[in-house]
Amino acid sequence: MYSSTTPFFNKKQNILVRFIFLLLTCIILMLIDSRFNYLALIRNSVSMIIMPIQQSLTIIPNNIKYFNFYSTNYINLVNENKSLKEQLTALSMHNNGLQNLTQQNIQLRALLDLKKITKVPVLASEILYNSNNPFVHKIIINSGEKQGLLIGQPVINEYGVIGQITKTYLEYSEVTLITEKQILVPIQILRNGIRGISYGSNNQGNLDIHFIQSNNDVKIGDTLITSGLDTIYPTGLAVGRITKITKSLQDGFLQIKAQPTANIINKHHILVILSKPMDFNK
Amino acid sequence: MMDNNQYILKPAQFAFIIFSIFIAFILNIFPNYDRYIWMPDILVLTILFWAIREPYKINIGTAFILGLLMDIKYGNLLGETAIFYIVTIFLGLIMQRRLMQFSFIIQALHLLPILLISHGIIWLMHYFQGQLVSNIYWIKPAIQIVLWPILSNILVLPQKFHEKLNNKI
Repeated sequence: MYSSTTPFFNKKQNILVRFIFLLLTCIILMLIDSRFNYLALIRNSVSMIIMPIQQSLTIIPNNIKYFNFYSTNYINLVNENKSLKEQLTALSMHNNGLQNLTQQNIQLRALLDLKKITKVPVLASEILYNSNNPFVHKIIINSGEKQGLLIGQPVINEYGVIGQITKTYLEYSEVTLITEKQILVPIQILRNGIRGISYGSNNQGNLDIHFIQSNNDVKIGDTLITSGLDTIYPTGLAVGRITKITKSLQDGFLQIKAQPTANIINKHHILVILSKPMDFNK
Repeated sequence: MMDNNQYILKPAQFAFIIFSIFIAFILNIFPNYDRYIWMPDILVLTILFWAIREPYKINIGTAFILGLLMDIKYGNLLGETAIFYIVTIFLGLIMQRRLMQFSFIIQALHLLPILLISHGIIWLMHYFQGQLVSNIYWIKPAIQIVLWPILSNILVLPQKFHEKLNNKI
């Protein structure tokens, strides 16, 4: 079966030439995009056309979700409410203790003449969707340059660090997860304050912890928090939990694997920490 | 599978081609559509279908533009999906005359190496950057060729319907 649009005398259509031309264009575009920031304008303007379509599409699954929610989940809701109340009382007790400690800490720091710990401003935002690229794990969030986001700012949720902003647009921005190779987080072990750096280990969704010497006291199950040595991540955010420790004989360091604590599946709300990282655009 | 060689269909209407590509695009950017690695890329299949059937209406240029749109939408490196699309369409167009002789199921078998090559190119590009992916990625082309006969039969429906109307008259 062939369609009758194929002309009787075949006009020579130079597929190969066109293919090579477009292939070269693609390669040049990729090179420019990875090295320079010239294409931001094109990205912004085209995404202004696509985003409304995308946002109107999200209405459909959201409505289905809400419909299910209202029609079936009354008992679940009551139970959830109950457990949340219990959690609230427990946490508020905890919080009282913390307030006391914070006050003490401020006084002690003033006594010792240490630098004050400043509170960093945060911005609440929502996850729009995950990136479709199976090779690089990214999420897209619904605030961007308009809200004052900058490349390099850390993104967290209630369970810990999620990642870092790697691209900003006018209305939304891209967050690369800490399980990616190019994202590094300076960490310390909560129990004893030993410092290291966490690297993403790509497809397994794990973290590799580097630069912890093999004579150090590290156990499986230790919690890792941000050390705050960089100016980007504030101190004390949960990053992960150690799952595997191997001693390598080649160098003096331990090979440590950790599981990130923050889980973005079924979570919609995140916080962007509005710290001021270096200007990567320059 | 219907025997395709029995009659020659009228060319598809350009408006329908655009409409089907638009629907495929919407499906492709549907929220959470690609939650799993193996979810098939319907857009590339639709473009490939029309490129094979109507090479004078839909060609590599269409694939290039739609690929760039997908890149911008997902914040990939500009040109990454575009390369995947143009390689697939190009390989499809090379085999176009041959493919048109077969039924959709045989066509799907021919498409398997094409899709493996284009997926392989993307895999290599990331491999050299040190970005790895789980092996489930390779199920994606297989799922796409399973989807091919179904999608083709849906896309050819309006033409068949038209044909039946004419026969009745």
